Amino acid sequence: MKEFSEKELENAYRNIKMMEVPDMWEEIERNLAPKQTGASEAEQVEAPKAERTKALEAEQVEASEAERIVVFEKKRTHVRKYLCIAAMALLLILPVSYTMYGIYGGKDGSKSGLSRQELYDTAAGGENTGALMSDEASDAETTAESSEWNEAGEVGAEDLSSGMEADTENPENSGSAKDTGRTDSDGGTAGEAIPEEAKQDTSGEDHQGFGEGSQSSEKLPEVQLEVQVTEAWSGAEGLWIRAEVVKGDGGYRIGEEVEILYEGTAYTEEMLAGRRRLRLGKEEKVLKLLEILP
Amino acid sequence: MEEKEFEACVRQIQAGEKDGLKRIYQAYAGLIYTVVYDMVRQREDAQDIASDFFIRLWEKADTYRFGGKHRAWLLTIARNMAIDFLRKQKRELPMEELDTPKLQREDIADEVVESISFREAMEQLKFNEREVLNLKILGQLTFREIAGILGKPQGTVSWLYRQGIEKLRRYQKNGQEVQG
Repeated sequence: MKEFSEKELENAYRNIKMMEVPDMWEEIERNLAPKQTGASEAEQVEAPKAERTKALEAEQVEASEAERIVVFEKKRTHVRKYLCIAAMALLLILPVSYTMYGIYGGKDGSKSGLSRQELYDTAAGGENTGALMSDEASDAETTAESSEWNEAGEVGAEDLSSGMEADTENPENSGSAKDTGRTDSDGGTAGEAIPEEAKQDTSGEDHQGFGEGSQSSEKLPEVQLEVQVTEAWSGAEGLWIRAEVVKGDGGYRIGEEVEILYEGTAYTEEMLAGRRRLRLGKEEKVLKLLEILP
Repeated sequence: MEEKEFEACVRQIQAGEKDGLKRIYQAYAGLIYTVVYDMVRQREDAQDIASDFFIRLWEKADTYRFGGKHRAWLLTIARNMAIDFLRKQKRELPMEELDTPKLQREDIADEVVESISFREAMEQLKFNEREVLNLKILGQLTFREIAGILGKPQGTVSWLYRQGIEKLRRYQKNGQEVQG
């Protein structure tokens, strides 16, 4: 009998395999969720170009959003710098203000006609500081949806610019913000609160996954794992990977399922498929992919 | 299906056009079902997983990165879905069973190959061999792509392919019926 070539064997294999495939289209079509494109299905069929344009526009919006966030990140770095300078200036000015208070008299400011609050504001250079910080504060407010920004920048900026109660979402900081605007008896507390604000500012959380290197000043505790990747999907934070530990350390058991977040752009889902050795950083119980090891 | 055609279908899906998904289904339903079935070994489960695959493709088409190799992407996802399914069912992957020395049937397969149909000979292949043949013959992937998906060295993949083809050829040489 004639010996089949490799091609013929492959064809036979393919034909037999394909004969066994059931028809699943009806079931699939029944379970498709409608896409929110702002038009009915008939309109979509009639105007495919418009839909593609929308998709392109969406991509452009995403790109500009990414750019805006990069600019925001840069601005936030500057804001942190300014906040530190302002905090240090306030620390220097406060003792002076109290000295002046001692010179000019008590609550009613009887000797000079100035009220204590006016003296405080002038001494603290509140208006000047406010002028310095107003731009950064308005930027902070426009990007208030970022919780990282809410925790640090917004509070610090409003504290220093007005000396009054800050209207902030973060309850932890709102108390400190209020302290800043209080009477002299709380001056010491306000003085102490501000360096902590500044500290919180500079030791904030990592930036949201843009660029390869983390801009955080903290080094993440690291662990190396060999994993079998089972799933990868994109989320708001970046690329999520689900994997099973094949060889581990750092307390991870073989067979344990882990979820890893990749915030960069160098690695694709295809590169992360299969069995991989990964260098991971651990940040607040979230494993983050730092590098794929050879 | 060529890359450009696949990308056009994905864009249609992103725009909410079912036609894009249907074209991908017509091109790859057989491949996806076959790959999944060889892992889960139950027709109903394979059908559910394959259907789920296309539904998920409809929902997650936005995550596809243009410019990549779409077949490898599809097969990786399908394979991972099958693995997840088996894990939830707490069932072992077939390869673990077939890799144990007691259950290796290489010697027996030589005898069986002489007496049974081509279809049954295909079923007698080891899971690893069948997986590689599916991805190579049905998926039309390169050995390198297959190695990336399976997490195996390229040499091993190529060897498994040769083993599988050789077994099928031995059957054919002995004069049994070959369908197709």
